Amino acid sequence: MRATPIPVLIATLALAVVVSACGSVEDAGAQTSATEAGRDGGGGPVTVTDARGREIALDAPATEVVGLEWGVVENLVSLGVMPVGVADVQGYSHWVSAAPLDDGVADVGIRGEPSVDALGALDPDLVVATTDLPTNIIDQIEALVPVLVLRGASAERPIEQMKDNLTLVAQAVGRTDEAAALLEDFDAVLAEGAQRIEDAGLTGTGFVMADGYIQGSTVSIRMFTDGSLVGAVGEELGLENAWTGEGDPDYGLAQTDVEGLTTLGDVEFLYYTNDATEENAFESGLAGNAIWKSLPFVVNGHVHRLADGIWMFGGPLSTVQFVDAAVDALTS
Amino acid sequence: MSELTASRSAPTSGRAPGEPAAAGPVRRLGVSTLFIAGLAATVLLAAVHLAQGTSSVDAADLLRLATGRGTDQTAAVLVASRLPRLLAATLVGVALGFSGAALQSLARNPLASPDTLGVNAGAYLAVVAAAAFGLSLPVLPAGGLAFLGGLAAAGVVLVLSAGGITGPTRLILAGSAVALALRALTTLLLLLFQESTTGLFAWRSGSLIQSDLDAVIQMAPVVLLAVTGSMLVAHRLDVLALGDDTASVLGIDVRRTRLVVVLLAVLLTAAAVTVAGPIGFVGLVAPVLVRLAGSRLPGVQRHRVLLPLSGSAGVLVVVTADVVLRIVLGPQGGVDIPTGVVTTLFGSIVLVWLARRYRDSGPTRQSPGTGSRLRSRQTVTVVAIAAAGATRGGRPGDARRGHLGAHG
Repeated sequence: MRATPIPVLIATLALAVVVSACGSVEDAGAQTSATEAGRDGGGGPVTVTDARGREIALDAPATEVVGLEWGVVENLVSLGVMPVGVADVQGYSHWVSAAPLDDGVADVGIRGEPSVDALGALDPDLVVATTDLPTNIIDQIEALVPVLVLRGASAERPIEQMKDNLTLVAQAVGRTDEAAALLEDFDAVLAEGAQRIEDAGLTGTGFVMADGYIQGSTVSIRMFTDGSLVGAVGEELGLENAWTGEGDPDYGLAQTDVEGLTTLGDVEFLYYTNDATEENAFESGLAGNAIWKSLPFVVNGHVHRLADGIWMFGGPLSTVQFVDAAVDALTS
Repeated sequence: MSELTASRSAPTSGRAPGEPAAAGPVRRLGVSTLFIAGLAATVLLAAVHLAQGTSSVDAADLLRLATGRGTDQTAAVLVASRLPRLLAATLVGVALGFSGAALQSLARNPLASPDTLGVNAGAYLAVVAAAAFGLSLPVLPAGGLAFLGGLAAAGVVLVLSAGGITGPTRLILAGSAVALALRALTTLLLLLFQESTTGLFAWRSGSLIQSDLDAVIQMAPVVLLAVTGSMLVAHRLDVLALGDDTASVLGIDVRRTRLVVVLLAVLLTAAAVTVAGPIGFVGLVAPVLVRLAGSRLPGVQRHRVLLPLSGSAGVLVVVTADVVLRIVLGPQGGVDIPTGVVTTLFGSIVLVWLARRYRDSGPTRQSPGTGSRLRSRQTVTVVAIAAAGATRGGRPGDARRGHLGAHG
């Protein structure tokens, strides 16, 4: 794919400062969830307050860390802390290309049901999980190792939640400067993307983001509402999310079928899939479908497949990939 | 249907001894009335069903289309979404209705069904296993696999319960235990192979969403074949209802008949699972509805009448569940909640009601309709377990967890 040219980043820095200033105002509420102790970094004791409202006290910033959800893992890798264990290493390598793992990172089971034994054997300083994991499993792990629980996503404030998660992880591993730099880059890329959309005269264009899966004759389609991370990012780029239905309260995702797509007009239809793990629902599943063929955005060639391996529920690095892929697709 | 009924005379009918013989014409009228009433209700519901969906296409649009003034978009929605869903519901209803009625007669027990005998669970496990190991099968091989899975499950259950003739409690207990074990295995595979089985999550509790007609068109001949087969052995089921010994004396090969009927019932269930996943308890409810509606019509107990009536009752149950689901929860509900959840909830209620209603009574020499003798309390407990297991499988939260767990 692409890499953001450094000169462009610098050129848009002025705008980025403005954007990040706005962001930090919105962040204010969440920042209070972490105590100041984490800001010192260095080698001193760290105390952070997680999504459960629980204080996690560490004698020193964690260095041996296990991530149980891929967004968390991406945060760790992008902060320069290679996790010692990850849930579903192979899946991560297929779906999250933004922050590759080193060889030798231990696999600790699957995301929905990590192996408590494997975690115990690794004996890390800290396990970072999300509220997607059932509390009884979190409790089991916590009996062995300190667990930092993040809220995976929030449809109320998707972008801010993504930023908060990075910041909180950074505090626990003593890398708050790196986090600030990552978020600054992220805001810069977002501003640059919005500029490119504006330059192309696309501001206000309707778009949707979707993925789908296929089983026999059944194609299920998942729409990213403006409560989803990438749905909200699309709005920040100056586009209009044309999917107005409500999504789930965390990830902001909504289910529909091919018939449900008839409510969309001639929008820019973005989707992603993964050739390494699944059949392309939109190509093989819907290619012959009469409704799909009659949809205005299909007729007019406004369907864009984004590159594989962009994790739509990730941190700043994955979201930067999305911004570039989406803007490239729409402006090319 | 009614001609067949009328042409067959009393001796082999399933009427209990001492029951007054109904006069031919009356019975004929009664059965055809029942059939026509069921058909009319189904057609009416089907019309409502066609007008439901996630697009803005409503009854008025469809009427305009019928009178030649509709848009291409309306036609596309009708052909590529509404009709496939209705046809899937119809096919699944017919298949499960026939299958359930045949299994109940075979077990001489109204609690027998593709669900309580583990056939559904076995067929579904086979499909999931294939997906988990990376096989993306076309419809017919997937159906074949579902057939083998269902057959194996039914085999285990029948062996565990000594053919199901030793008593309903043992049959249902064995069936529920096997079904629970198979569901646990299915869950395990879905968890272990999240990425290759993502699509199966939504499908897990029985979803009628169809994006093309492939599955329905390829499974329809299979169902037609099995339905014809069932009708051909229907008279043997009538005789079998008199008891194995009597049936043998009357020249029926009991073992072979049982084998043929089990194979046909499993084939029908496998076809239904292949199209829509495990839509729960239709096979249990449909024959019960028929027996209930026809309790005053002795002719209904004859299998050449009972089987097709159960088939149409099956369609009625599935279509009703799908219509009610979308009336109550709106079009979005028809996407979010698998139709199988509704049929399973309804089925569990019927199951518990059945268990409470039937009382202990004498040995097995009775007609199939009245032939259920349960040791009440004991059975209520067993049935409650079975129902709990069944609803557990259809919990909507499972599907949701899947969709977030796999991608989110």
